[in-house]
Amino acid sequence: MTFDQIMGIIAGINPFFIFKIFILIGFLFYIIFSLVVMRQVQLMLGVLEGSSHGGLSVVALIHAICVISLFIMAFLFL
Amino acid sequence: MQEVYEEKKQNPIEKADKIEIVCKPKLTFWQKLKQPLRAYIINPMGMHFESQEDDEQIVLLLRQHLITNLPWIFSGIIMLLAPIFIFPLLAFLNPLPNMPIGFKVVLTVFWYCLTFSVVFINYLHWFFNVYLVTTERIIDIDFNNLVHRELSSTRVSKVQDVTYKVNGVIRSIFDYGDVYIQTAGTEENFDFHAVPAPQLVVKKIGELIEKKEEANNGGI
Repeated sequence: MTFDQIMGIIAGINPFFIFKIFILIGFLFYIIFSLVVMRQVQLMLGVLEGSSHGGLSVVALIHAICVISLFIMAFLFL
Repeated sequence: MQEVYEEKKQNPIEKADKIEIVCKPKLTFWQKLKQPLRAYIINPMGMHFESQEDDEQIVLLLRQHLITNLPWIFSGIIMLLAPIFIFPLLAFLNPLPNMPIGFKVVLTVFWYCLTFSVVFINYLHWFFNVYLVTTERIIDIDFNNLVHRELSSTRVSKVQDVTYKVNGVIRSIFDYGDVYIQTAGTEENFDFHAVPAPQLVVKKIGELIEKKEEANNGGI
């Protein structure tokens, strides 16, 4: 395969497709981060337990759901 | 007659039940609403920590003063409002004319998720980095980042000196400062950073030390 052919293939790729791949990889890391946050909130609640702290784990769960939804949205609509 | 006797017999039990209900640490809705934003709580109700001993009670729960959160609150507001100013600018400059609408929508949603993450992480950091003064110990719980936690404690009986420092205009206006707790021997010293009403904290710890000494002397 010559250099011109390789350049031709690269030129034929939609730049937004490459952008989509990068976005999806980024969102995968973001999902991992949100799961780490969720786990960390549970650990923190184990260290300092309070009657009014339960809402935090719910917020962390909603955050993780939003990030997973974002990934699905990006996968389907981009 | 039998019925009256039974009624009288039941009354003390009912009373006892009522007393038990009153004594339970139950927070009102308003108290619950305010608690996540409080930095100075005396005798916090319904709160426990990891290594709490059976006869140990939390006397004081301290966090950094609420005002210390202003930098990240301000960043959060800027991040929240940024799209309102950036979108018209991008529409005017139009750097990527062929960008599909899907990208714009996804990136906007991502931006708001990111903003929420920043605010939430900072809030968690503030909320769980606490200083506890209990009837037995002084405890410092640190979560430096998401994966690092540290719990250090010392016995109240080991405390030798407690001082505080309030320096600067902002600290004087909002009445917060640092409390320094010196301990005996090789025990590590404790610094409570930017806690509200440091003079009251020092007073409270002083009272606890006195009580402990009195109890020890009485025991002898």
